[in-house]
Amino acid sequence: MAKWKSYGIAYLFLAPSLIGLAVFVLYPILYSFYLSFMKWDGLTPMSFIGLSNYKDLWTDETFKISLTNNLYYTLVTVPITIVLSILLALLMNYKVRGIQTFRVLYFFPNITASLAIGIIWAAMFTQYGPLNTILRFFGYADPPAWLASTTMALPAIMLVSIWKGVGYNAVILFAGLQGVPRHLYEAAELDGANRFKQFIYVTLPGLSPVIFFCVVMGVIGSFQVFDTVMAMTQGGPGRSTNVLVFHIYNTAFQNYNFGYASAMSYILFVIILVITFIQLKMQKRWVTY
Amino acid sequence: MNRMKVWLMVVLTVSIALFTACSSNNSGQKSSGNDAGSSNSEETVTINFFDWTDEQPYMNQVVSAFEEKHPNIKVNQNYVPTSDYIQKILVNLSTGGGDMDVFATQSTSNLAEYISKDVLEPLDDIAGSEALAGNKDTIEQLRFNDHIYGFPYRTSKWVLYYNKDLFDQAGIPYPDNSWTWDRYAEVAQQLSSGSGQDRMYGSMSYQSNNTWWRVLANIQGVNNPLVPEELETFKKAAEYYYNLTYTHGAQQPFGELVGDAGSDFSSRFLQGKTAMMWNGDWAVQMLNDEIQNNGVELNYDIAPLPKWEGSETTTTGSFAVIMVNKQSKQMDAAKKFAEFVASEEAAKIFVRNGLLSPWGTEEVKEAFLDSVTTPESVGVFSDPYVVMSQVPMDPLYNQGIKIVEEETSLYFLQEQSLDEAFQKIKDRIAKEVK
Repeated sequence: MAKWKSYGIAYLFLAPSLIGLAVFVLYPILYSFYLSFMKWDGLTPMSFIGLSNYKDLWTDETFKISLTNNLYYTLVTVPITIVLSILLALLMNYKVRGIQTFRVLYFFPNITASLAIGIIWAAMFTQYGPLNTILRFFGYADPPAWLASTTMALPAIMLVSIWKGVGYNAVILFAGLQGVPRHLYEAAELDGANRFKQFIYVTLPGLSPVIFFCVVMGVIGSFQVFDTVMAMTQGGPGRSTNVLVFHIYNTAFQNYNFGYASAMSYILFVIILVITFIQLKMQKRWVTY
Repeated sequence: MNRMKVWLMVVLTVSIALFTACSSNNSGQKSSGNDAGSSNSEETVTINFFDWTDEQPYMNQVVSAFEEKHPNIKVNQNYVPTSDYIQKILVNLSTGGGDMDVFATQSTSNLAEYISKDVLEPLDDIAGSEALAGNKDTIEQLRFNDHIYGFPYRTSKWVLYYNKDLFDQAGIPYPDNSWTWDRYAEVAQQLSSGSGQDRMYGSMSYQSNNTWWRVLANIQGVNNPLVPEELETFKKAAEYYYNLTYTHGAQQPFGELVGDAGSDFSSRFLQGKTAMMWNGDWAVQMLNDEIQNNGVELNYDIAPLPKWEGSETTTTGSFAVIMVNKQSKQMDAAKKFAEFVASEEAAKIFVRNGLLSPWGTEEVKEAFLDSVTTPESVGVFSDPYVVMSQVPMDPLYNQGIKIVEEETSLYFLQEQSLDEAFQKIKDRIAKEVK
């Protein structure tokens, strides 16, 4: 009884955030699961259509294109972002004059509105924009059309995502670097390990839990990419930069097909869940705590 | 300790009570406003009007005029950012829609969509009213399933804009209503010269997923890609637009017009590096604003759109429509307001703000010509050319046109052929639009 009372008090304290969680997170999650079996345009009464929405996904060409684009996006952006972040974190770790300023500057893209970033970068990528002017200066006479090309538009978005993500991950990895015990470096040095070997055998294993965190969050984030696409290409040219969340958004809020959009959201959820699960299982092989 | 627990419980209960009280207070206020309205005709009735932010400047004036005429009706104006507007309306309607009485849309396809979802109040009883007599023809164009569900209150028209100086320099006579699209292409080519970034263009192109090329089909009465026979006309229009760019070299290639760089047609025209463009009446305001207020020097005029060989001169445009929510609790007041927005009195307010009205009466025309004096041939907007609707009354139109945009943009970017693009459009419409 006494135990129940103390739990009761605890739950009372938790109530404000639990209620918020239930209303704004749990309820929409469950409701969209329910919606995924319905045909609903948001206005007229909904009708139960069983697994039709899920079946339609198999023949939806735009869904396949979006999924392929998303996988491509993830496979390119996550590894490159992580590698560059580690390098940047190592640089940040040097104690030179003004390093604090650099640490802040690298974090800047992360606190800037994605839409603003998208618009600025879209201007950078224009035919006679700064990027192509630089390329021409270095003798590249026929620079890519970037956002106007079906093959280069997605890489252009990836470039922006990497630019944006590196600062954020570098700050987390930099914090992780502080946690690698000093004495391990001293021991390695005594054993005759050079800087590179110290990095491979001390720094990387020491950082691995943080790297693991960055990879998991990076993969999840990359599957949810939306704002950069919305600001820079709106899925175009054609459907070459259409990604899953963008397709879900279009289906729900442009075509008013909420049932189908919910079904896609659940497929996206399952994809992320499976990948994250695999990552958690695999971590034993390379993450040292 | 126990006393402390009791106090804690009291504090928590009070805070929860306050929290719920605050939230219910909001709805309480709203409903009290509605109650006040329905009780007595002597009392002031409040109606909620929803519109997108671009309309605020002139709608404020329309609402003031309405309230002056109907002192017992208060119009509560809600302006939503243009990009969020359609979604906001959807949310309003899906949550019962009780707090929205009157709302506007700038697309007749949205009107058709709302009709198909049965959320609009039929307005047949007032559609034939004396106040709307002069707007009757346009209202009839929006008849759907034998009913009128919305009143057109504002319209747009496309015309040909040209840079007079560039024509003078080349010694070419100005465009007039005898021009065909072949002549347009020919002159556009003559007026193009130079290379690279500094090339002068005879004609203005836009982003690859643009609506401009469709104007060439729209003026032939073709606006719905979901009708298979109409696709052929769209195809010819796309081909003409493509040729203007790549065969005649008279338009900036689409690859150079990505993002904002492509959408900013007015500043490209103002730079004096493009001789002609076809555009809607809104461009007059944009250009005049730059010329009169920001000191940009440009000597331009307008002419009717060219015509296709063997056809009459026509133009195209779309209507902004005012509608009444079926769920409105203030139906009489809501209908009165909708009627007023589409009336001649409101039409005069719109034209005084430089906008076009579906009203064709002399008084409205005069008011327009009094308020807009530049360019010289601004009267072209009042000429009685047939206006073909740019957007069909089809609830599935938006889905169809998105496919058209996706596939034709690849054609304009030279990533697929014309035949490929239109075959894909046909296949995808059959498969995806539902």
